[in-house]
Amino acid sequence: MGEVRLRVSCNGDWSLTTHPLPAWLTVSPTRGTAGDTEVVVTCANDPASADVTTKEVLRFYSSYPSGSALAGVTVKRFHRDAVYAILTPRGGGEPIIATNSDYINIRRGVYYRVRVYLSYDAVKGYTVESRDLNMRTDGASGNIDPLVVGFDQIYAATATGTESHTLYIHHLIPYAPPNPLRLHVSVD
Amino acid sequence: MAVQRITIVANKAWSLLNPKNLPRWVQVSPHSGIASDSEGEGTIVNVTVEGGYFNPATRTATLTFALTDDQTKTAVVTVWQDGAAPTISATPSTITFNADGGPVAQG
Repeated sequence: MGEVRLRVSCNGDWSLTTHPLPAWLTVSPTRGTAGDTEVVVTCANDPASADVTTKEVLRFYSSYPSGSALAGVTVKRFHRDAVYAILTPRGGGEPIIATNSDYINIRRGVYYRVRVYLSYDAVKGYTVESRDLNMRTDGASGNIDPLVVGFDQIYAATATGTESHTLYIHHLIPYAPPNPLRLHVSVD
Repeated sequence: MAVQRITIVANKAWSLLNPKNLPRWVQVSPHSGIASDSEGEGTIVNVTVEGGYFNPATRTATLTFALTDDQTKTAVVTVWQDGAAPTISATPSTITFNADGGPVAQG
């Protein structure tokens, strides 16, 4: 069981219009008034529904005779054997969370720290981080890789133009599928 | 804040009834006046309304002006403010949980 806090900002009354919610997901409160409201999203440890990765969109809606407004939040829950990477920009900013075959976009001139996790280890009973990483990209020439600058770090250095690369992330997680994560990375 | 003007024409002194009961988003000045002159020139009253960003719903207020010595003689003005277009945002736009329900660490 875990929870994440959202902030809903509205200039009037609002309500959550996504219903019914799946059994593993709870949201509180489901309505609010003008101003900022902290909304707690809770995900239950529900093994019965953990076989597939699930996405749910929470829709927060405000409607008046003067018009209506909608804000959406995507809630993603990995399945129990999911392997995913978190790319965290050094210096701040939103991390990128990606699974195999995902398309992601990184910012030029920013270092990203890369970590790989197994969503749930049936033996240990909790999320496990990879002990080791080995990354490479297509088109690497000798020791000059266009993206990989360290065992857990990527960086797009070129000054202009749009780049795209395929990033292979080999990882070492006991009991996890040994297949590397393959991410399609664009740079702008 | 926005100001609109109304003109009160009366042959005796007048005042705004129950000015303390006005909603906070409306201000009226002045609250009272004297009889208009012989040419019927009235008294200009400023009605100030604060911005309604946090009020998507339409709102109204009623201003009742009455003669000071005979409050059965009244003039009524309705102040009407259209609702603001609603705006809403939610952050972050994406949240991710692990299979066991724990939030994905993002640091």
